[in-house]
Amino acid sequence: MKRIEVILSGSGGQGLILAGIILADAALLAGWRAVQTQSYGPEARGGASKSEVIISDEEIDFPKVERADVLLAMNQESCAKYISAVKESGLVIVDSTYVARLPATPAKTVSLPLTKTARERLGKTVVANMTALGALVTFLKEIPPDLAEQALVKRVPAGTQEINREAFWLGRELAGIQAAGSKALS
Amino acid sequence: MEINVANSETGPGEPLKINHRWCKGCGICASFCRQEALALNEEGRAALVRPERCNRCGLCEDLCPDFALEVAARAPDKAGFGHNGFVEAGALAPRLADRQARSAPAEPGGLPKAQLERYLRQAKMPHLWCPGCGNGLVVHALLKAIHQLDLDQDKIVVVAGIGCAGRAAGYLDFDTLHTTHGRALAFATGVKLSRPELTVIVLMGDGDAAAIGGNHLIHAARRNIDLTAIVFNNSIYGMTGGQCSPLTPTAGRGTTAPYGNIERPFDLPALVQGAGGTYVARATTYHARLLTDLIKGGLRHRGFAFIEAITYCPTAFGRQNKAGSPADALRWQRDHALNVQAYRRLAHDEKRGRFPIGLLYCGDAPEYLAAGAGPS
Amino acid sequence: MTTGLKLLQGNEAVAEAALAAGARFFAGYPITPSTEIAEIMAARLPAVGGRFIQMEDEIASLAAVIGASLAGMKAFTATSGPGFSLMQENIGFAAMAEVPCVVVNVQRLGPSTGIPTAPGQGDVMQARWGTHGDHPAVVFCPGSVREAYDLTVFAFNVAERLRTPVILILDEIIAHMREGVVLPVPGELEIVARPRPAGAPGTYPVYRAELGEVPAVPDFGTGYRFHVTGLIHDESGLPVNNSETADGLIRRLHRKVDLVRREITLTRAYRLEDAQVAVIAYGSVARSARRAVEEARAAGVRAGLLQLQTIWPFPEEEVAALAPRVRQIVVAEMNLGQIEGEVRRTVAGRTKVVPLTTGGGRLFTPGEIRRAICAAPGGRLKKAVHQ
Repeated sequence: MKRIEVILSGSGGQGLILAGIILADAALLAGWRAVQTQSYGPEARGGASKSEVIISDEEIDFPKVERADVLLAMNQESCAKYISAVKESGLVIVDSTYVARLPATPAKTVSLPLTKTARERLGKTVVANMTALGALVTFLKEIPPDLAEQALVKRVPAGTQEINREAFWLGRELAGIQAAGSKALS
Repeated sequence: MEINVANSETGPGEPLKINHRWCKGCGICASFCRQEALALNEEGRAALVRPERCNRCGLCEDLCPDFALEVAARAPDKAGFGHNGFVEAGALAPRLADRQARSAPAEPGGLPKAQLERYLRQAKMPHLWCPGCGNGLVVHALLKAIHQLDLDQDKIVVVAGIGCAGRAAGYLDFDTLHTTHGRALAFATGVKLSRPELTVIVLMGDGDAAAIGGNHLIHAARRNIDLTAIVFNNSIYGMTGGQCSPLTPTAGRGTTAPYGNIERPFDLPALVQGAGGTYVARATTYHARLLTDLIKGGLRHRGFAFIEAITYCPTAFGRQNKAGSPADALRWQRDHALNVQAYRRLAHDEKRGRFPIGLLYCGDAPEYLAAGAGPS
Repeated sequence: MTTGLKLLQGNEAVAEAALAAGARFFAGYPITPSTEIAEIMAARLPAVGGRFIQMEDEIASLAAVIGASLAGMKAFTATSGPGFSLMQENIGFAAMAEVPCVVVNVQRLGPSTGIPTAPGQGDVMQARWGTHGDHPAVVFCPGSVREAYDLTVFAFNVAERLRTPVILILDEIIAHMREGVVLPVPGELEIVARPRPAGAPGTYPVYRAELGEVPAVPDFGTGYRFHVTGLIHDESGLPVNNSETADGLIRRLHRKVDLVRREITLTRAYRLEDAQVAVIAYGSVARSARRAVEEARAAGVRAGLLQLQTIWPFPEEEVAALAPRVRQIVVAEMNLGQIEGEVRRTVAGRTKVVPLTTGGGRLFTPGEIRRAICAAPGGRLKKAVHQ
């Protein structure tokens, strides 16, 4: 049985729940089973928010992450909070825009200027979640990026498909640069 | 005074039929009969002691809260004095008469007893209200209004709250819904939205409508949903034994205010108007024809119609507040109510102790169902 | 390579299922974590000729639902703990007046405001006894998004068939999770409508018990001119004040549900045939328990799971059947032990009952349940398990 556990985390308002939903959608399109859950505080913005996606080839029972294969952390607080849940053989992707100090971890780590690049190249930080997603699926070989893009287009608000797709490809680009120079998740 | 007491119902051909099973002996008819033709007999029931003096004016029938009286061949020219409350006339009175003439069948304000009884679940009569309770008068006005509008009996739903007023639903031969305390308007909203073609009438006491039901009252008004709400305002919680309500006057007595009520009462019409109701009216049980007319107007109105019916509880309110007999209470209503035009012309300190009756506000706003909901 | 699975949220599944079951009236009040249901119904109902209204509070919401049901529509509401508490009086009204309706309670961690976004299962006893007086209760609890769909349809069918309020409780995890599911084709679903009167208006006794002790109460506006009340009433629907009628009516309301108990007490057994230790769980906890059963078996303990999909009427027969066969029953709940009492009562000392409890509003991990399963019989369970 193959089971992949992914945590997407950051502060409330960074759109990580949407990113998790799209990841789950993409997994279904690719023929996997998927479950997505989340946890959050009462704030609409700020705090720590987490989306969890389980991808499996069999029926999924326990819907939460126990040992994450991938952690995406888009702020310092969530990085510190969830890094210990990552497997030794796992991967931690952080947004260097907000994560200055990476706690020690046996897992592989990748630090990308996700939000900074989105702001500089697209003029918006609100689509940084799609940049993060683009990076994430580049490292996650089980999810074909074109299916992730297909899923994304269906989930983002009407009229924002184009900019969100650009943000997604931006993330792929950033990850590609990284991947060329280091070992990706296999 | 020597009185010939009649012990049983008067026979056919008599000007007045009395149902002794339904009559509770409140004495209103005897007190108000200008011809002194009525009195209470040894069993304490109404009796036509001087039939020759009866001029068939119909006042007794109009003021009987027990549906126990039926005047044969009413004389319309003798009817309608004073108890419309328009001795002072004012601009409203001629218009009122016009409306009555246009809408009424043979007798202005009349509802033939046979038809009245078709609106009642007769097997459940007599009702449970105390002798002299004004609730029967409010119900009578409602039934007259329904009759005069010729509404389909199968398409009326009466939704009632908890309390003496709410019990009215059990006696009425329509689809009736006796809800939880204070929530009648919410239940009625569900009925109306589900079957908009039904006429939905909501009957509540003052505690039911304004205390526990206050929130639902202001929202039904805000929505301007096409319901006709009638509050039986006797300024007390009657069924539970006489506690104060949000309509008990300051300094009034209630079992929960043994030293006098320190709170101020609501002005219900102002509350409902402020909340967005588009037909707001008040009358008293003494002003039987006005009350009927206002209910008729409310039933015809497309939007939230609110009628406050000032009524009297001789038991729970009357005794604690020494407010007198049921007949005394009707006279109190006559003496303290003023038609709204006249009331508005009074100076501020002249208004003390008096209150306006009539159609207090009628506005125009989209009715909830007409506003529509759905993707455009 | 797609399997045809679509990602669907638990709350979305409830809304879709309600529409498929024929619900055309929703009245509700926003409250986390149930609000998605109201928002979906607001968007979907107008297009199918239905009605949505956001009422001023939860009391009014259930009142409007009852009014709409009496006027002939399949109607429901959705709320969470604080709103569920407010609805109790009207739940009793619906039970007494035999009004079909569905109340969805998406449980949060309580009591009181609790943590609105955290899961809990603390309302199961309230769902049974929240409203005053002797009344039967029908309460279902899904453990997956597909079950949320199926049990919603079932809830409407049972409500219509028995003319009684049916409560659907979800925990926040099931309500907010998104899962790949295949939904039944609406045309394939069995949809039940309430029994309607055979007799003509007139002296038709609208509350006379017919088949299965269920009266064929008419809808408002169809000419029967009948009375509906929360007071004790006789067959005519009109209130009566006598002890014998009251006793008869209350017992009939219970018999109505009791007669179909075996049809409506739904459970799912997983590897119970040869189990030495059973776990009883419901909602999202059943999912953790399923994995725990696997892990326990890998460790040499023959474990099995009884998932309760019906909470009330309590599935006594299934629980009683376990008692002589297992050395202990672990009852895992996201509360401080509510169904535990029912299990103990049913088991009547024939086997050990081990509660696994939490007041913390989080889902047990499979490991926590596995440790409870594997604990030596007679041994004490460490308190730290649920901290």
